[in-house]
Amino acid sequence: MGHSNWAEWIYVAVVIALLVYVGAEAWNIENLIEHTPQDAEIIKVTAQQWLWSFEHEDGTKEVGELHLKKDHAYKFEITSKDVNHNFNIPEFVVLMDAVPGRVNTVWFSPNQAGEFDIQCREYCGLIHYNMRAKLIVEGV
Amino acid sequence: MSEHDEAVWRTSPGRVGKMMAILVGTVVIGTIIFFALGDYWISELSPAGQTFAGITDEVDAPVVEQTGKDIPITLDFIESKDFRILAFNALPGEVGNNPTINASVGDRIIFNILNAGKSFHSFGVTPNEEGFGGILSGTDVATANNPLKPGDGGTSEFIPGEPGTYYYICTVPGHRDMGMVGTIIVE
Amino acid sequence: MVLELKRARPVWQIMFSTHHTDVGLMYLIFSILAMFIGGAMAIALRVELFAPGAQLIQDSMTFNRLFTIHGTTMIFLFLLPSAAAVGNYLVPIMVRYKDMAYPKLNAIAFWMIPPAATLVWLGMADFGWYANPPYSVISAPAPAAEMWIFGLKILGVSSILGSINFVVTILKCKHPDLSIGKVPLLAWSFLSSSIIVLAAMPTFAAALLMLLTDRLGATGFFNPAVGGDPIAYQHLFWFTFHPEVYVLVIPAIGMMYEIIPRFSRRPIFSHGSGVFAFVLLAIVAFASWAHHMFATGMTFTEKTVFMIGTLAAVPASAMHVFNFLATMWNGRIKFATPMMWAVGGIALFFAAGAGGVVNTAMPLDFITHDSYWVVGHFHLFVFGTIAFGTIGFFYYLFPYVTGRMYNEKLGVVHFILAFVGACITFFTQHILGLFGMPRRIYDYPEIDTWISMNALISVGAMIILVGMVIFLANLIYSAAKGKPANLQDPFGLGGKYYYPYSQRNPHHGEGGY
Repeated sequence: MGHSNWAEWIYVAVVIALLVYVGAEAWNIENLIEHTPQDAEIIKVTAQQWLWSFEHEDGTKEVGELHLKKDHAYKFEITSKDVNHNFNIPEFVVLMDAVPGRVNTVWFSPNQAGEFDIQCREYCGLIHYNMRAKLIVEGV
Repeated sequence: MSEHDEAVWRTSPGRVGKMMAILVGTVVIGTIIFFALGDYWISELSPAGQTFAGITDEVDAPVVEQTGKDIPITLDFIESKDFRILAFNALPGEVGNNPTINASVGDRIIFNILNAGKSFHSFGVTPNEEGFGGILSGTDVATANNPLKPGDGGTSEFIPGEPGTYYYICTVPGHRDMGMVGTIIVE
Repeated sequence: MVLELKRARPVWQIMFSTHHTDVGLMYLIFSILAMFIGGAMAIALRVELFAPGAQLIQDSMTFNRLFTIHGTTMIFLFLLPSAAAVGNYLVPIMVRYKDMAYPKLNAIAFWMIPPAATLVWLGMADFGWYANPPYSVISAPAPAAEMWIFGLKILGVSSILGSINFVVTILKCKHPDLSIGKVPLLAWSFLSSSIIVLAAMPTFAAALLMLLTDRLGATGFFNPAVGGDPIAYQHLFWFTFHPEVYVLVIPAIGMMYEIIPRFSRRPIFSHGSGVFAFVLLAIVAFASWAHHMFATGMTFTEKTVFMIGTLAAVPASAMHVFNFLATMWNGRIKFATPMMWAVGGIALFFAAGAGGVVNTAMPLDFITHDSYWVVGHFHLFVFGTIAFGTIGFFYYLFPYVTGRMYNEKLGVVHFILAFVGACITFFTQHILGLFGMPRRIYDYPEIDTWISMNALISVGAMIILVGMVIFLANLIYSAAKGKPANLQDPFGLGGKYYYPYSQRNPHHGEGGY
């Protein structure tokens, strides 16, 4: 080489520092997110080609729509009846694969009332593009 | 390896042109084969898929002779505006929703099927009380893997050999659960 | 180097030749053909997605098949063969050997590709290029799925055979006077990517076989209905295909290592850093595969491990960017077409990498997973970096292969259209993903922001299309009727270059590099 490359060392150090920062911050936040509150109400979510069905703790079933209460913690137990799907409520950043033979969990607490979209976020065939449901959050 | 300094040709432009013509010709022939065979490439379901859907070879009902009358019936696939409720002919609560068919053993029920919705559907008759499998042979119009597009239709028929309750359904997975099912009561 | 016969040869002699330049030429022509076929599919998809509702494509099954085969074509039939083209052409020359180590095997590796492509294109399977089970086992229609599986099996074998050839040629057949540290960086890039292929590809070959037997009902590896685990497939798939994306990008970076120093009229800033970065990248590539699976229900610890593995690969890529920029600094840069493509490629490479860092930050993945953000991100890599580097290198090789110069003005126009089109298309896709639009969907609801962004993206795609048509016209016309090139210095850079045209050993004869 025969020429000084101190600039390269500094550059690499800066890059690594930035990456360490991103990694640490991500670790921190993920830690917080993963911690499901004890009092979260369990909602069973079943995905199938090409619709969503839900079951509340008290046995109430809903197909294609889900009624929840504002500022209440909910834990979704998600599974699928046939192929991989992904339960996604984009406006609340809820996202988790629905894998047949397995139950995945994700929790959230809706902090806004209104109507929101539920969509499938994993390719599942013919009507993947229209595998939608409505989330209705009630409350003041 | 090469010590030459002047330009020499790998081959002539005319010959390259011929090779390009062969290549393009091959692609054109391939495209013709692809479209000529149409839906063949996606016409079957894998053996594992057939097991999953409950489709087995034995469901061929024995061929029954028609000894009774013809019962023609028109069934249109329809959907609610938000696609959440599906039905035949009319939505739940309206007149004509999922009409029940009464027949006797040996009658020939002729189904005139039309996809009057915006989504994809397919038709079949099954004795199963749940699910989308067990479709009796001869009763199917299109399949879940190769469904009827909006506006498409077809006919099929069903000659029951045994009395009992049968169900006509949309065979696309999930559609029966969303309302596309009606009963056929056979005496 | 290439052109040593006085009389034009019949085409069949080229087709059945085992000489590395002929095999390279066939890879080149095939990859360009596949690029246009895959591109046509992409245009069909973008026309359909221009607005909600059905436009060009009347049913979702056709759309699903198109995006599956678009992805499969671009990766396996365009990018991998185009890298093989460049490697075949130049690696023997760069290591001062007469051909590849195994010339007949080389030709066989090429000739496996057209039948495999036939299988893939005729079947047009619909399960996405990942072929995730259980969909690909129980739901994807036959015989399309089986044809895809067999086609990819053959392509995998072709890749492995090509990689064996590169590794042996570079390590064992190089000239005795050439030390491994002095081997050019483009050759190092092929060594590096070939070793990754050899380590990673067999896993996918196994996964394909398991997928096939699962489909036949003979086994239950991935089918939960018979006790299998669909996530196991994803691990096997991504264990191959995360390193595989480095197999795609490393040769393109190598190509930039040829173009940038030459057109900056300066030696590369640090050859040693380039070698180190290639080797490091090849190793760390294997540490990050499950970042594609953050949404499958992995535990916190598992996700952390793969986040760290992903971040660890960034410094190596950053070193390449630094090397390029430091080489250009203080250089007398000639912005001919190849240089524009290479520099544009570096800029988009940087943007792609930045987006990747966002994806790997675990909580942010919940926003971006399986949305158009991911589509924008990987297209910035495969189109913005790899295709840019490759196309720039095709322009660079053009005079050496054909003896004529391409039209420079059209080359510049092509670059501008491709760069502007890529920015419009792929940056907008990032934003569209943040607004929640999933990928692989045939139609979308009438959400105003989605509609306007999709329309903009489709316009961007059309801009790229215009550029590519100009490229095709330039290639064909210039090859037939272009101005004869000065093969000593086709780009008018001054100085002497000992390859790719003539293979003088700089220790012998006059001058040299």
